[in-house]
Amino acid sequence: MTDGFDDDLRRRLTGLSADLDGVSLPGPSAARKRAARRTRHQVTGGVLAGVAAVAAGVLVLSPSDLSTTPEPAPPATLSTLTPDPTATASDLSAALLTPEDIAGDTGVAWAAADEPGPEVACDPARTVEAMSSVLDHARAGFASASGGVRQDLVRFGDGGSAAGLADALAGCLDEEGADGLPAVVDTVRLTGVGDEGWMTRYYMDPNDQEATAAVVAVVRSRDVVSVTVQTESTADTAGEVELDLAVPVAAARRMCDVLYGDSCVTEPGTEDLTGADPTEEPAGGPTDGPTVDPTGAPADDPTEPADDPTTPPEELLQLADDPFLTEEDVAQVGTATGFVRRPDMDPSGVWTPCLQDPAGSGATDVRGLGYNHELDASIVEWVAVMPDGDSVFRFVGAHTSLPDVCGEVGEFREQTVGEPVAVEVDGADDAVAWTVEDTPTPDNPGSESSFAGIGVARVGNIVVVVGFSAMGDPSGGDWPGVATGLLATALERAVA
Amino acid sequence: MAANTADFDEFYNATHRRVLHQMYAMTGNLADAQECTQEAYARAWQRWKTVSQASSPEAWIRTVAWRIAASRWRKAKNGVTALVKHGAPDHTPSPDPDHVALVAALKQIPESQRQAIVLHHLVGMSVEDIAKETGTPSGTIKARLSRGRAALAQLLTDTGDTAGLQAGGEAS
Repeated sequence: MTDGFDDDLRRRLTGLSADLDGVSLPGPSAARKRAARRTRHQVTGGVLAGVAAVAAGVLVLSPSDLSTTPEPAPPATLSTLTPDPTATASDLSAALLTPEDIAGDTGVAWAAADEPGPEVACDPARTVEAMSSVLDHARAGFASASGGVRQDLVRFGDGGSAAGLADALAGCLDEEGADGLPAVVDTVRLTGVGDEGWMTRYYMDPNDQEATAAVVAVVRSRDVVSVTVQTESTADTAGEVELDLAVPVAAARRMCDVLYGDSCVTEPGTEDLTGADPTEEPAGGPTDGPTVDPTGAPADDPTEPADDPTTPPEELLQLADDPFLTEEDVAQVGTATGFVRRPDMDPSGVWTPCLQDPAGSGATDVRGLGYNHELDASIVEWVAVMPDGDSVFRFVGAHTSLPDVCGEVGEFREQTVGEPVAVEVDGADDAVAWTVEDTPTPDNPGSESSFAGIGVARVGNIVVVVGFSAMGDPSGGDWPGVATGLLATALERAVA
Repeated sequence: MAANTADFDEFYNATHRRVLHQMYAMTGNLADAQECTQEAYARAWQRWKTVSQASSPEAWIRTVAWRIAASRWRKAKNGVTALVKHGAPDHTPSPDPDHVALVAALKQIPESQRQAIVLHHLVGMSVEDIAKETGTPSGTIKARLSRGRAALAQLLTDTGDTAGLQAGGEAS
């Protein structure tokens, strides 16, 4: 009877191939072009950071900043349920801004630019390039006498990526701006434009008239997100007080018109991230500069909880009695098998490059456990309790840019820090994974390479870290895929 | 043409149809299957030197395409309320009612069970190979296959499309 079931199911599954008649993929050259487009972007972003990093004696490859956030509850549309095949197959480049869109009725002449504008601190373009949920991506750049505009149109494979982009920007600016620069002036939510949107204005150095001022807008409509970066010199911002919504609005208008044949712009406006209209309480400050003192604290820290007495206190999670992965959980890690718990092992002895010490990040309780596998591979798991969710968010976020500044190059060995990847982990608020390869230099023949794969995930105020270290990569080049499952189980075990 | 480009193209041409078929069974949506499959090949090209030396580059493609598809489903779950309000979206009907029933049933079982069913019954992989490819204990794969088959049998029975399907037994 079982054989009959199996045979018939197999026959019917095989028969689905008939539905593919007349269906074809774009071909290998199209796949290579899609990949090449991303690679060029990564190289462009990497060169700038690489120059600074090499000067510091550090080898950095494909640095990026990224983060994910909990799945939002966006206004669902039919297209978020089952993507319209015609929309899915469409070319995003046709929906990019044009010079005429940007110029509007301002009288300013804009032209398409070969160089898509300067890289800005916490550049969202680099975040986009590192996100694993990107399904399609197009970019354009424009220039005028007063500045530049760069637009990325991105089709994502999940609903949380737009908010993730905005949060990554906010988290990065918060981190990098700890010393005052860049100075964030405005962070607002866009209303009446797309399904959801955010806008941030910041100055690389408001005291330097030649430095860049940037306005970044993230607008989502259905499964496509427009990211616009407007740049001009600080000197050119004199007198600007109100945020100019023209570019993100024009971008959304064109995006929806081309991709969906409808309008997703109603009455464009802004509100602060707590929902209030910021125009009701205009920020003070000089009219010939930023609306708040840019050398002071950021004007609006989205990571801070709203000052709302009705906001319930954060519920803090506790660690389980045994918060670690079981031996069954780590019985198979990619191609590596048979790991056993080693309570006698010093977990800090397992190589986990670029990982920050949770204890140094404010954790109130940090526990580690080592596992090994026939003595040639090791796993370490760290679980940590932080005072609040924001602390954990910052801890995870720190690792999205940490590979920019870690990795070592020595006379005999050099480390290659892989691009950190945001991974979607069941039960996690957000998670990131990366790899580091330690290889002998040409002057050091005969030595073996080492591999480390690390994953970090958080839920509430709990963070888990899984690090794998061995001579080779057990994931066949897909460490994020392996880390995703490990982190999901680790979180499940860790939380009481 | 560089050798690795030729290798990639040859690999693509030899495998893409098979992967697309598998992704169609996993997603139940041709457009999704096309997008996820093509994206997986693009990612493979980005690291072709590594992927081409993997024990099974096709398995790598399948795994990555699956992750992309699974990400889409999570998004779709957020839209259940809208589905109720607006009704089911239009889609091109499959020409074969048998295919419609099977695809509909597959889409109703959990992702992990669907993956196991497709890998075992369409790809022809053993439980051990599925466990290895997915990084999941083989006992878990057996359970997913058993539950998936039982659920499929029930779903197809409910639609009056038993076609001789009966659940039971252990995965081989």
